[in-house]
Amino acid sequence: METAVEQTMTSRPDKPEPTKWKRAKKVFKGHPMAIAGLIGVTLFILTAIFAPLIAPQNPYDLAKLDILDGLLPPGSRLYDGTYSVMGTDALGRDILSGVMYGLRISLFVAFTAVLVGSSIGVLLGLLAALRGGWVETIIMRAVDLKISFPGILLALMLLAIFGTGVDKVIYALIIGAWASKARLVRAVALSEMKKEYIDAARLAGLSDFRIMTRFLLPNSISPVLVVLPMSISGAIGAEATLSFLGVGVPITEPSLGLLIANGNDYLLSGKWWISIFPGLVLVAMVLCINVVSDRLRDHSNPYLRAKD
Amino acid sequence: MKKTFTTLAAVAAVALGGAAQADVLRMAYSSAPRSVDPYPFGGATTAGYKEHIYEALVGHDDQPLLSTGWTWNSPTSLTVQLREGVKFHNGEPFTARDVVYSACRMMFKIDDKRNLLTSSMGPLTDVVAEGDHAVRFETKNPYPLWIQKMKFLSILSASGGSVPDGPITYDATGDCGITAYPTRDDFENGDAAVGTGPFKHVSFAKEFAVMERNDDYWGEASKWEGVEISSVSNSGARFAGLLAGDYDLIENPTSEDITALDGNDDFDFSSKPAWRTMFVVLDVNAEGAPGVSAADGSAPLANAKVRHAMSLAINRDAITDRLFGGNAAPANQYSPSYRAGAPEMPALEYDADKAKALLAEAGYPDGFTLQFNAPSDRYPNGTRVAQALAQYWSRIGITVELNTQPWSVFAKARKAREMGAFFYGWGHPQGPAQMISFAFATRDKDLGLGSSNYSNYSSEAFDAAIKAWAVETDAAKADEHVGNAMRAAMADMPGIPVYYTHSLWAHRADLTVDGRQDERTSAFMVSYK
Repeated sequence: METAVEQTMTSRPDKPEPTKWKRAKKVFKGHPMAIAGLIGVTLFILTAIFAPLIAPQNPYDLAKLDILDGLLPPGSRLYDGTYSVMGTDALGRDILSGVMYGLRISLFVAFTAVLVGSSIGVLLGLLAALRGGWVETIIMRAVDLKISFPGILLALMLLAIFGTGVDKVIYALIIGAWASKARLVRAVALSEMKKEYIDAARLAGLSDFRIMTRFLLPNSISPVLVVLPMSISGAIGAEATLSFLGVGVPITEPSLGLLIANGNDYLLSGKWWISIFPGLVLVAMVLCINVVSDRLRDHSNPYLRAKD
Repeated sequence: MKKTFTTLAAVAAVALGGAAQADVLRMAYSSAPRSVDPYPFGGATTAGYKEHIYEALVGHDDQPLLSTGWTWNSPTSLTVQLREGVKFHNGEPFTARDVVYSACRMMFKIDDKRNLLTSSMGPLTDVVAEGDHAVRFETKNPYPLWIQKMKFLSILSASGGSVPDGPITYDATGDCGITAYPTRDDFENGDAAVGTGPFKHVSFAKEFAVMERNDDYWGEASKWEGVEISSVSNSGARFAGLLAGDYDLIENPTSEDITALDGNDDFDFSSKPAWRTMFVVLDVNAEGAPGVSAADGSAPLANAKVRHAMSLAINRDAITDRLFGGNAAPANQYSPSYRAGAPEMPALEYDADKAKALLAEAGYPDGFTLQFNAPSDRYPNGTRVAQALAQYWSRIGITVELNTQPWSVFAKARKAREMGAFFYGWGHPQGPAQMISFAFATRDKDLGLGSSNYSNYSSEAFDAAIKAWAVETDAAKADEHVGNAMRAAMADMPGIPVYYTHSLWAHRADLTVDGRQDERTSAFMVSYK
């Protein structure tokens, strides 16, 4: 059921909107670093999606690994003839394949955790702003409580209780992701609440739920969208940290963090390739995401945008 | 001679830059000794620390130490002749009264906590001083093992506690008419830390213990003027401390540390085959095992053919060679084949095709599902070996789900018997028979058998051989019984032996380390080249 108020609120017939594609192009135009970052992110995501098709070896299939192929330097040939560009780890796992599959886990975990966590955070933030009173008090004190805790410590505690595994890591990161988004959305939503279109919607007799989803959400979400990529790179780092500490993914299915941890023992003995390659990929990926994310943030800031 | 040593050491100290006090040996243990009190705690580091200060009637090699020999008066009565001319650190002479006192202290529980030999001394009915230089041990039933157990009975001076004058009468509660035993504090501040060993207590804090040479030692006095034991549990920090010149020797360097020493002229490493056997415990329960399932609902691990197939699938040489760089040996039984008392056994074969065929013959041509558990923080290279084993079993068609957990979690699951297959390491100070009697004998609380039988294994042949061994006083016949038990167990394979560990030490290049099998580190092993 569309009401008259909604129509006036959602359409602006006087000026034609530029298409989304054009707007996106404008964001990156004249920023070669950001474009490089965007290309990088795309490549990493494609690699992760198509890893099973392009990786020389399935590093998670134990029957395909042989410890006799262990610790081979980059450029060696494995027993089955596979060429190993980045060398192998102690168990004969091809590092290149390990990195490709590791990317999959890292990106999957980070995206899932941040999207779910942020959705929960946004919902709670809007609810707090809209309802006020004790609902707001409970939600915002919970946010304070969460934020007062170091994120990694909280995740370590949760994993100690629930045990390890990809799903558990995602839960731990979700719990780490919601609070800041709730606080951010509530702040924006509170200022929106004072505007006349909300009063108009109220006067029209719309339900709280409808006001929240149709008006408050679209007008308060943009700051969250801007910090989202930064959260994703943060979550990638957090997952790597947890895996490095040995409480993340199972050791037979290493993510980037666990690959780095495996190689850590060998750094002093000159077998640098086990840690360095996954480490470089991790750094490159986080860097690409951060460059893109910086650009989005600058663009969303009206003062900085004016200089574009 | 001594002067030459000092000069050499001084030169070495200058060359190494920062190694001071050349005649004090500075060692870094991998965990802290738990107490100066020799009675409550075992464990390699505690035992290694305390053997500097205290001695027992029998040495670590089962040879006489504070004794000169023993005779069996009857199968239940043993007389031990004591060494004469031995003095405690406080100058008191060592006599039979001290042995009775120490036996009493071993049986005396402080805060109701058991001591090292609390249950092992259960069969003892009396300990009697016969004059100053002989002690008679009376037992309920034939107890030949007592001779090996005596090496844990550290001898303490009876002059230390509040002991009434005159002879001490032994009783199994440890009361013995003694009004007060020294407390833990008395030991740690040195008042009660009075033994006969080659070193004297100077100070003890858990992470740092200092000892000085006992110049009145009855045997050959140590060449080291003093010993400092630091405890550094983090292997990276321990190794860095060695490289920085903080320690002369560290125990348990990782195999990666060893490779890092390649081409380093200032440091070297020593290795010694140790008594620990690493093996896979399999739950052979016919009702099925936790975490193990087959498509037809049967219990695969209850089938001996399956267990042999799993053993055949493992390339042990590859594991010891590739993962340990040769500092481990392929296992062929449940105790190192080089230990005294272990029988001769053939090497275990590696043949993946044969393993696959055997698995098919057992009725599992398509394999089965196996959850394999391993502690993540317990054994050097442990998780890598666990993954290698999972590789080998995957290749013969078994679907392996590897589950690694911290030791604290793992140990709980083991106690609750929630694991059908797990990776485990075990050595026993008293040799092969002790180990397999705990691990594979049918559980029997009265005889103390099978207390760690996580395999749920029960074999008449094995039990008969173990029970015959437990009462055999003739060493050669006892070894024969051990051999029979070992062969029976290996034929059924309730566990799969994988490798024997080596103890490793990294140290300054001008030192030599003559290590022992028992995983301990002490100053007696170390000398200048």
